[in-house]
Amino acid sequence: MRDPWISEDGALRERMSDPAQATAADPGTRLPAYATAFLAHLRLLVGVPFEYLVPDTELLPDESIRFFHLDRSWTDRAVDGVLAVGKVGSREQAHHHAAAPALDALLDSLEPAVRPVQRGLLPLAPTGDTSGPEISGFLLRSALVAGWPHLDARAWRESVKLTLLRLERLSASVLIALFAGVPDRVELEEPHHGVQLGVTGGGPGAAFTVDPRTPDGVRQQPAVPFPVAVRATDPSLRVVELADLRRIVSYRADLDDPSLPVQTGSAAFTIQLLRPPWKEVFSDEGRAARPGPVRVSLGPAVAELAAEVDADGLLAAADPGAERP
Amino acid sequence: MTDRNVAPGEMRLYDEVRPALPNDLYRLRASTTLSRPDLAVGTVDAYFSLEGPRFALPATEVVAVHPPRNAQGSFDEVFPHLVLGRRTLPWERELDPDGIIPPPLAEVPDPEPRPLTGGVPWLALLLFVDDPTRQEVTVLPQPVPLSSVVTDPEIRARLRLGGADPQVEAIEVGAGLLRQVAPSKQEVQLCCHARQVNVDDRELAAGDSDGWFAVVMANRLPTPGVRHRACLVSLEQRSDVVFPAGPRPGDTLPSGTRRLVLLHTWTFTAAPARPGGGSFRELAEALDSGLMGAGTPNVTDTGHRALTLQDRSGTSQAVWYRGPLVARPVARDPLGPYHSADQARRVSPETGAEDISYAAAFEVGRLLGAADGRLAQDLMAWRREAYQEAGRRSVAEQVWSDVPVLATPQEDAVADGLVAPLSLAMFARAGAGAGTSADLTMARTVRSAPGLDPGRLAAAWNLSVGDAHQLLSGAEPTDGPAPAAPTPEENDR
Repeated sequence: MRDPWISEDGALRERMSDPAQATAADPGTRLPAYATAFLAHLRLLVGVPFEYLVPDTELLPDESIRFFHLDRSWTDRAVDGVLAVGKVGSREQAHHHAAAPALDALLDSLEPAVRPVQRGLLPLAPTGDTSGPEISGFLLRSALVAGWPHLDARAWRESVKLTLLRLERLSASVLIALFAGVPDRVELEEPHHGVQLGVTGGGPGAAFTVDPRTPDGVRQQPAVPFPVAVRATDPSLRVVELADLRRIVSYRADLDDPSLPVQTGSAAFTIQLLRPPWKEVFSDEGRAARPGPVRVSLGPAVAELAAEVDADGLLAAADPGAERP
Repeated sequence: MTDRNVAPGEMRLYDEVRPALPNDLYRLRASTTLSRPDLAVGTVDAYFSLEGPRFALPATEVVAVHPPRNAQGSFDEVFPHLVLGRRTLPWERELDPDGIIPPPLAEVPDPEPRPLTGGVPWLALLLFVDDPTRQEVTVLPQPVPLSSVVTDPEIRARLRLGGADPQVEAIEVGAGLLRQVAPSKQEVQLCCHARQVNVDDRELAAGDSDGWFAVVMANRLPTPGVRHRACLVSLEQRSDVVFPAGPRPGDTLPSGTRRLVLLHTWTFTAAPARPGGGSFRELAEALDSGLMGAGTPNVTDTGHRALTLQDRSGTSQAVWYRGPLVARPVARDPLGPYHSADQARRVSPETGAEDISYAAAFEVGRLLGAADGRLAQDLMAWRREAYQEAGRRSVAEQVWSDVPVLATPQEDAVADGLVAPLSLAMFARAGAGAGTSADLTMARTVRSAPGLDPGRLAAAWNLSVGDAHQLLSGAEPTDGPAPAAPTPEENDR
């Protein structure tokens, strides 16, 4: 009969007095990368069924936006649940108990790194910020989500932009956003790649016009609008003579008004047709909405480098009299 | 191509973005120049053909369309446009590379604008009314051979298809209408540009996060009150559709119908402006904004919703549930970690009903984890590693406490000589994760082997005890210096 090296009582006593029996700093005790990434994503509710987030349809009716704080206890419990997989006895429990503080700190520091991973920019790496800040966000259920894919969402607190932790469509018409911190201002903006192009006017009997814009996209003040001609063979078709419009713009830019973009190509022409993207602002002072300040600049043209002016944008354009920010 | 980043809120426009290699057939020739001409090395030719989308466009290339698909709103002042995720796509082919379509006639009274440089894109977005009351365009229900779309043999020859006749999606339009709607060659070029925007604050979408887009704009404004169909068509070599300039009053319009290769299409309705209508502005302004749980009849002011729960004994009871999204900040529970869902069940003192919010969170986490095979494996590996690490640690402690014990009986030269190799063996076994065993060091087993007892050896072989010692340990038989450690081979003797 061999001598047992350790008795059952002794093993239990040791387990209870030193649950992990190995410190969290040991390389062998680190949670594997895949599981770490899974938990970091779960902290931001990635993969949680929608019914758990919104248990009642009334909570998020059609065409509504709902702001919220994230209940960190809830996400902590979900993480505990994941770690309960395969947890059959006191040995696993003791191990989890010992590893939990270090794991929590690691996940807190990984939260801001999840979005770069989702965007495929960076591998998941701790950010060094283990403060586990308060997380807030909004759910948006609207035709905006389906109709304007990749819309921009930004949040500020006291004019400091908050880190965007997650901005993702949960379904065709539901968008979730999470921010690190509690904002006092949230903006939803029409996506810039979809900035519209158009004309003004065109009511019954009135002709279309286009407002002159400088190379940075700002509407000229004061300005004489360009007339826009439609193809005369059948005006009801509303086909715009773009070439004629360009001729007029080019004439004025070259001969009369050097502040207009030189009509070297389609980019300079497009500036004249820009319509500022709409920006909806939700803030503590109530809602304000205005066209957003998009800054436009011309990339190098084919023939020559067009003026690359860094400028303030369409804001002043659509809001006559407003000061540029 | 300058590839600088764009600041948030900024947008940069480009006339065109050319692909590094145009669509064509290429030869790659590899040759080696040697300083010794007598060693000839042949050249190797490899051919490859570069072919982008031509007669069909995968829907994934289209990032966005405006007005949105099937939307209804005040779109009557905007040119519909289509955004392509591949910034070079419109310039990968040329509408008229051979210059078949002449430049527009100079109209004497008007000064000429600066000439457009660069290529004329092969893509154009055409807008048609497609309403039950007025239908300008027919989308052919089935793919048709290209030869029935491009009927002019000269144009087909210029397409250089080499006798192939692929099946294509197509639209059919009256030729007279198309003459009035289709952009002129110059306008095709004006309708395409590339944009570079900042994508840091953007909702996720796979594959298009570089911030570069190509935009194709229509040249026609929607008519309020009717449904429209926007069609992205290929105009490559279509000198029968694209002219130097639009028609002037009095021009005779062609008769018959024309077909065009259809690459992408969607419909929308231009309606008079109304609140809650279909434009971004109308929708955004009509949004009902509030805090989570505000003004919801089924939900308490703490955000809890009553649910009926079938508990494990089979009785149903009313319980409270609240999701992770709450209207007010909630303190983080410091009592973690929890090991089972039951640990997280709470009873709310006001109502006496159970609050299963955190228990439900635990369970959903457990289910998500269990559904992921790789995750479960990772968790197992994590625990196993930790246990082994703990095992290694214990073994090391055991070894250090065992080594003096082994070395204590100084007269026992056998055991003494075995200390070093046995210690090494112990560490090796511990390192291999052998775990725990009763006689971890094997010292006791070794010492109890009869063949290793000098007394018994001496008796069996009729030797003196000193000779037996010497045989076993390789040490001097008399009281000399301490015996040297035997090598493992000697141990095997």
